[in-house]
Amino acid sequence: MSRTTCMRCLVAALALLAAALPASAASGAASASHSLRVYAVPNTVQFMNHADDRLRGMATNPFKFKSEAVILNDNGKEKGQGPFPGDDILYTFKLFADPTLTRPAGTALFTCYYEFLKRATCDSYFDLAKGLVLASGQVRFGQAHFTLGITGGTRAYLGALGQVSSVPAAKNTQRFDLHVTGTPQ
Amino acid sequence: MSRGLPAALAALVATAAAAAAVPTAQARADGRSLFFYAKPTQAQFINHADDRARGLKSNPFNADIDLPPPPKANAGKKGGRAGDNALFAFKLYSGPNLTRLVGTAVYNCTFNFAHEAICEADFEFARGSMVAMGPARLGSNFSRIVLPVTGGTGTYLGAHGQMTSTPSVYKNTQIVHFQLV
Repeated sequence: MSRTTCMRCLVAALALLAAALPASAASGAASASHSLRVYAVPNTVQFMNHADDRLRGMATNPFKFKSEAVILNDNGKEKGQGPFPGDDILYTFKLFADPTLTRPAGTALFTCYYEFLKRATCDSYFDLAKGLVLASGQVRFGQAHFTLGITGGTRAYLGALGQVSSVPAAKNTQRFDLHVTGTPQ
Repeated sequence: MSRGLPAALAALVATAAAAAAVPTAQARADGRSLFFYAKPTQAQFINHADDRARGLKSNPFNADIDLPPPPKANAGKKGGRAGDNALFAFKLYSGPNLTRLVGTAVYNCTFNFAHEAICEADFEFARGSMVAMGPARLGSNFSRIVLPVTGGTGTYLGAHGQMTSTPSVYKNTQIVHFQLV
């Protein structure tokens, strides 16, 4: 093998090394991804009816629009049972690791602030044995199927991202599938 | 031509070294641990007792859904009830002697049950901000709270991690520790 050929081999090897290094470094910094399934039993609920605040806000507000028609009937009463914009609902759940609800896995809390058309922005946290997972997103009132974005976590879920999918399960429970990414390996 | 090879080699070695160094530098920059000392300046409690009472009578739930609030959660105890709000403002200092002001913080908390609240905490600094959110136990005073950090701006753009606030006996302050990934 000539010296030139040898040097070319060396250059090629170094080029490969240069190409490989960012990849290896990236994989070293790569974060873990895992899924977790829990079954949630509703525990408590608190509905906050802000009818008076809404009414006051229609009369006195910093804007120039009139929102009476959005939620008021001709007789001045709110249409239907709501929830209406500004209302909020707090839900707590007991979490279990199995569908037979024998192995406790923590608790969850949802705070949902209602906007229009019975849609709410919900902030939730799942208090699990290894840490806390925080998730937020839109949920329509009464809808069991929804997906929230995971925005953070603590301890084992430090820096967590991902999503939480909710589907109805047996025995009046909700099944939450947490797909967690971004946590340290 | 053969004289040119060492230069190419040097360039490749430099490239390889730089490629290896960049993630390390990022890891150092991103894996930050920051400490601040928070002194409370203002507080506002918003009592939603009327909305709570109205919500028990007029609500969108069907009659077959029977999930009352826990009986002892909203009665017989001092402190926030489900749905009440509490706002807290802080000044942030770089050291325990509280001489160098570096920013401000506001906690916006909504109580749920048993004196626990979900709080959104906004931290404003000269060159950016950070947001954290999560549960906090709010009794007569702040106990230790740990909130996930969900984002930031400026110097803290894309901040992610957790924030721990621990009471300090020194000058009625909280020690705020950011652990960013």
